[in-house]
Amino acid sequence: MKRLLTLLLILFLIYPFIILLSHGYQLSLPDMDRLLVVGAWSVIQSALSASLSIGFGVVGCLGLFSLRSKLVLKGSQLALMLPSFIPTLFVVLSYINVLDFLGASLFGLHSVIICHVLVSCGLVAVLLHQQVSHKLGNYCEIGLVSGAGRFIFFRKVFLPLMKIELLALWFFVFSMCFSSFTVPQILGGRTPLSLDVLIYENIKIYSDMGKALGVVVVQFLCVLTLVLLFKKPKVKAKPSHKSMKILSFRPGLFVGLFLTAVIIFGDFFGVLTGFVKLYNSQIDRELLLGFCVNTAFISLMSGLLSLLLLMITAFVCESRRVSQLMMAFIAPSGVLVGFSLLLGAEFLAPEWRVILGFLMINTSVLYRMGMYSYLQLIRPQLVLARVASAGVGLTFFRVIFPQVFTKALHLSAIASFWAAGEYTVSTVVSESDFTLALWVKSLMASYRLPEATAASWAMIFIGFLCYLFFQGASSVFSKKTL
Amino acid sequence: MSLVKKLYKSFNLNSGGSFTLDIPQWEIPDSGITVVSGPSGSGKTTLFKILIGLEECKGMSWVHDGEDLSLLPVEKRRLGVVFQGENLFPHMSAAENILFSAQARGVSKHEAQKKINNLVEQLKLKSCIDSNTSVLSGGEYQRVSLARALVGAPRVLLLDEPFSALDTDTRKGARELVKDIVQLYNIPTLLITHDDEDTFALADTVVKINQGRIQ
Repeated sequence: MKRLLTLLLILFLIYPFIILLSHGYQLSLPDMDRLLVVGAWSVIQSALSASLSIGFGVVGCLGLFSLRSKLVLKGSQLALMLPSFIPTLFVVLSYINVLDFLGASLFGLHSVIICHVLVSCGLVAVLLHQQVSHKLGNYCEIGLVSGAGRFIFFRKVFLPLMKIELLALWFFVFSMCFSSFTVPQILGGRTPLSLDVLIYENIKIYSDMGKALGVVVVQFLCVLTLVLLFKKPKVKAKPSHKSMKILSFRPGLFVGLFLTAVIIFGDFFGVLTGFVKLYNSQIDRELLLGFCVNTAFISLMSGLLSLLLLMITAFVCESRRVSQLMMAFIAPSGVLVGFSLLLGAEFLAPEWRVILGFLMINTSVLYRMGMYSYLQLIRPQLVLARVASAGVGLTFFRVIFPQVFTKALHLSAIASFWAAGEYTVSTVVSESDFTLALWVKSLMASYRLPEATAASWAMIFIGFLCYLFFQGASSVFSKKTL
Repeated sequence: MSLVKKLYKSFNLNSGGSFTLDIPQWEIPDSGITVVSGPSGSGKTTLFKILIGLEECKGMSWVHDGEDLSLLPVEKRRLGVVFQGENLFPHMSAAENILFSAQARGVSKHEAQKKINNLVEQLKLKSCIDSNTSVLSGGEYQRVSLARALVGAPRVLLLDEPFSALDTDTRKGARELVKDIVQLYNIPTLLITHDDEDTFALADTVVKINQGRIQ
């Protein structure tokens, strides 16, 4: 039973690769000139986005060290991470609203870079803050008692000791931007600024599956190389908050929070007008209602199936090998998954294709986000159960399930929120709009920005409701098990 | 004589219950080695961190040479500190570590070099001064840590279990070296330890601490 489930889980996760391999006979060489041009622009775009994100991230990280209250620190971290947590489409729309308000030029490399920086610099700040706290805690104490100033410590200790982590974060952001789709597709202008957009163009505009498959292979090899280059930094030593003040730089926090504020502020532009316009048009009203239902369905089903898959991983991940596989698994990009579903699951309704695509991309992400560390915590109990001769079923239902289910529900809540804003897979698998995210894009394309903003808030609202549903279930269950 | 007053700190323990460090008044001699000894969990490390300024302790005062050190931020207290664990930056050589501390205290490069040369001789660091800290032996690491603590002309030297990571033979030599250096530099030294042998070998004054109180 356990082996069968493990096999099914692995097959599900690698489904896109299986489908693409089985269609290998269709593969044709992509247009090399175009591939080189797009590849070069992708590298430039990603390198600049990553460098700027790291720059702003470092400043934000130093800002976080100026906070003494744990509550304020937690709140600031959440605020900084917000842009990378909410659907990218929401950030893009906000950026367009702000630029439209300022009358600035919208499309092109600069916009893609700025948007990528808006999405990732807060995340970089928070990740770096954790790594610095862990790695430099003791050295900050030495620096402080030695009487070192902030600048000398930053130059002589922070930069040399954190260079591997900074490089790893740079690669992380670079690979995120390199395989980014939503931002370059909407803001990129005529030349595709990522290979994913080129794949999309080959599928949707030129209907050339062979060439699309060729670019998929190139893109996957590039991402694989990046992931292999990415070295996960080791975490050691216990932080001592007081000593970290040697790195504190309060203005840095304001820079980070300002960027988040820009995103939130931008999404309030014309929201009321947008709702009024949507309400006054009967066609739009009906469309809105239909898309809301579809989005809610996708969001709820994605949450439920994420829960199921997470519990299956909890069941099978007692084996260290499976656990390692889940940790090391490189989820394919949204376009690649959408493409594989287009080739191998034509018989399914688009909603189900989106749900399955979402799960293929995000199951390993959710596992890494919280499930892994939780399962590590209960691993000694599993050994204890085995020593006590408990069977697989008994161990699962009496040891794993009661302890892991609440955590899995919490992760499913996050999954359902993300699923409400799913755009990449949806746009590849369907010819027409059927979710709020796709409709938001269409409204943006026809420059109906207030309506797009209103629809994007509806999308966030539905995602939030589904999040609350799972989160509520999580707290009910945790009270029951207490 | 330096005088610590109203050192009071209470906090909750992770294991449940609470711990209180309560030292209404404590006179620390201006010379020699004062050993603060006590069992694990007696409050030694908390006391050490409060004196350095890494832990907050509202209302306390530590008057040394007419100046209240508790009012100064950590970096301005000018204390020489050797921690129990890591003491040296791993990406620098022994010399660079010592130089870093000198520069941090605003010692000129020329003056710092002179001081380092003296310390190299006094602490027998010639063979390892250019080595990376990752290849130093336990004894060498401890001597470089001491040099780093001394180079900035500290008011007081604070050592937290400085010999705990050393093997028995090295420990004996290290104790003798610390005693000699303290005499040579005539710096008031506070040594935190739970090892009675450290107390017998080094103490000019012994302060026993138990359950957060000096006895």
